[in-house]
Amino acid sequence: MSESEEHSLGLRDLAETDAPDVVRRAVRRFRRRVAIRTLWVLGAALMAALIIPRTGPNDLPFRFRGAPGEMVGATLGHDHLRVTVIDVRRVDTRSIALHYLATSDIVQRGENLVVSHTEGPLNDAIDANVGGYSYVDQNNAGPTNEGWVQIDANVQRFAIGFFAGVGDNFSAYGQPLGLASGAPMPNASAIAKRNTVFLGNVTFDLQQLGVSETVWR
Amino acid sequence: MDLEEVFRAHQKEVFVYFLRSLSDRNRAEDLAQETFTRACSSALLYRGGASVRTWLFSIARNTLVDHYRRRGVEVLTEPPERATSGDMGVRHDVEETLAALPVISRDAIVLCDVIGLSPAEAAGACGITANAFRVRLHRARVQFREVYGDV
Repeated sequence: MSESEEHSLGLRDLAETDAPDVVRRAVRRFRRRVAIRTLWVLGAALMAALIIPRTGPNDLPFRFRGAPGEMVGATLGHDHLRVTVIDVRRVDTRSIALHYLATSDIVQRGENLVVSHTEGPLNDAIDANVGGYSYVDQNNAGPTNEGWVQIDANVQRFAIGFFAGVGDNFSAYGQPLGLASGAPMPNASAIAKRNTVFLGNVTFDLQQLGVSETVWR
Repeated sequence: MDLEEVFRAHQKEVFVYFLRSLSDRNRAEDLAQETFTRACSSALLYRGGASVRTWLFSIARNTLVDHYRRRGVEVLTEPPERATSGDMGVRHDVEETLAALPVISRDAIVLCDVIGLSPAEAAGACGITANAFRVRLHRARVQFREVYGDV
């Protein structure tokens, strides 16, 4: 069909018509869609934050608060390290957590009392029957350390190693003093170099602490 | 020139595309509006490779194809080499002839002979080569002439 044939048939005339203002409506509709989509996304994010329980080690104190368990109130440790077990709770079907408050009188100025983040037994001195902990969440301020330790259910005994050092969350400890659980503490003034100082392991025996098996088994 | 101004410059021909493809003014308005809404969404993806016109008509064509598919209308069959009016009859009326053509033939004629896109622009909107589109357009015109009764 040539151009002249098109014209004679009036095909181009078919383009002559009144057109509605669809662009304005389209732009308005687009802006409305964007606004609605944004509200949906924000709403979904808000719902997720409210409904979906937070998981992960950082929420241990939060999870601990609402979990079933028992108050303990027992104090363990050595001469220069005191650990009070506050309570033990069942945080989920596979884990229990222990809430403690530790203090030490040989933590020097500028140092903090901390628990190592290394998993499992800390050194060969730990009793082979003692389990390790999977996670600890701790707040430390100088010679005081408050923490929540998560361990697997069914573990009756486990140990935590305490250190004094500069900084909050050091996981590698300096030259250990070769202490085994129960060994006498060295005189702090005898320690030539203070980088991080191992203050000893504290072993928790849930049965000996009087915690019901319904909580920790 | 902002986006709305650019769209407004092509508003009428996009509307005509749907009007002459569907012969339904209300439906044409809806689909034209949908086309520009989609164009707003994909404006950021427009790289300027094709002309704005080609880009808009490719969106319009996709909108029309989606509309046909929702209604179970076959859209992809190329016009036969030897076009015949077959069951389409002879119309002697341009609008009726256009409405009677197969979708793909009507599409080619509306794009080029009604709206005035060049074969290259129309090929870009259809996503095929210019040569392939020229073949399609030629066959569509032959069909049109037969149905119109201008053989």
